[in-house]
Amino acid sequence: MAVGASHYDFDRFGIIFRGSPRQADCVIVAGTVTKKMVPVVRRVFDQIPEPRYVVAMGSCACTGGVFKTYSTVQGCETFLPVDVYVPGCPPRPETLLEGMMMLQEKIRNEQARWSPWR
Amino acid sequence: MAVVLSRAATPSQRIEPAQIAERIKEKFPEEVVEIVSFRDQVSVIVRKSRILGICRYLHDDPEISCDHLQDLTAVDYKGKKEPRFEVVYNLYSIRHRHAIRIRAQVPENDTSISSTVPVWAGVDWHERECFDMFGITFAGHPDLRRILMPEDWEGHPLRKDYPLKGYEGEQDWKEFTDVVKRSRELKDFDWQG
Repeated sequence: MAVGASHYDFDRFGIIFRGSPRQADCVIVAGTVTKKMVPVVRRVFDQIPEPRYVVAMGSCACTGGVFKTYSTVQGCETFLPVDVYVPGCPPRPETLLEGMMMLQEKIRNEQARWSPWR
Repeated sequence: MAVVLSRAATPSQRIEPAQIAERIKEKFPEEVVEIVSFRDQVSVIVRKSRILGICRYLHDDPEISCDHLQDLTAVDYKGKKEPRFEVVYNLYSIRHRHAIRIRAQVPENDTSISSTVPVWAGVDWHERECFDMFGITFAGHPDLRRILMPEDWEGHPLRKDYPLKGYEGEQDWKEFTDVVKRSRELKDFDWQG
C-alpha cells in the first residue's frame, strides 16, 4: 500500500498497478497463501500473458513464515515460479521497491525473451 | 411480545455470576454437573441433553436476560478428561451487564448437541465453525456446512488427534496436490534464461 502511495511511489519506476492479470507482467504474492487459496492464485497466474514474473513479498509468501500448520502453503514457490523473494515481516516499503528494481534489472539482462523493440 | 414487555419493565440489575449459576442449578438440578469459579468468572458445566432449554431460560428470564452470546466454541480434552469435548457458551447480558459461561459436555462417541440458533440467530456461523474445527454436529442447525476449510476437506483440524502440520504428500487436500502436480509439469515451459 505504502509503496504505491506518494511517499515511495511505484509509478516513478514505471511500475503501474493493473486491474486485471491479463494486462499485467508481474504478480506480487503479498501474504500468507493457504491451501484453499492455491487453485485461485494459480489461476490468476495462468491468466497473465508471457513473459510473466512473480515476486513473493514477505516471509509468509517466501517460506510460510511462522505458520507451519495444516492449512498454510510453505512458500509460494511450491506452485509458482518465483523470480524475486522480498524478505521481511512485513517488508519495509524500501525493501519491496528494491525487490522490484532487482526484477527490472533481471528483465533488462534477459536476452530474447522480449522483442528487441521493447 | 409478553417477554419483550416484561423485559422492558425490569430495571437494569446486575446479578453476581455465582448467583446466576445457583439459579441454573435450582431450575435444572439434574443437568448441572459442576460449578467452577476462577477469578470471578463462573462456569457452569452441564449435560448436553437439555442445553437448548438452559439457553432459552438464560435468554428469556427477565432478571438474567443473557441476550448477547459473546462466543461459542469447543475444547478438546483428549487424554485429560472424560467426556472428551466441551462446547463453551460465553453469555452476556447487555441490559444487566453480567456474564456467565456454560460448558456442555459432549462425549466422543456421540458428538451431537442441540443447536441454539432458535435462541440466538447469530450463533449460526459459530456453530458452523465449531463443526468444521471439532466435528461437533449441531442438531437442528439450519445449514450445517464447513465454514473455513474447503467442503471436501477430510478431518477436523482442531481436534487433538489431528496432526499439527496436517497430512502431507498424497494424503493432503486433493485440489492442492493437483495444482502442485500441474505446476511441476508446467515448469518445463518456464523461461530458462
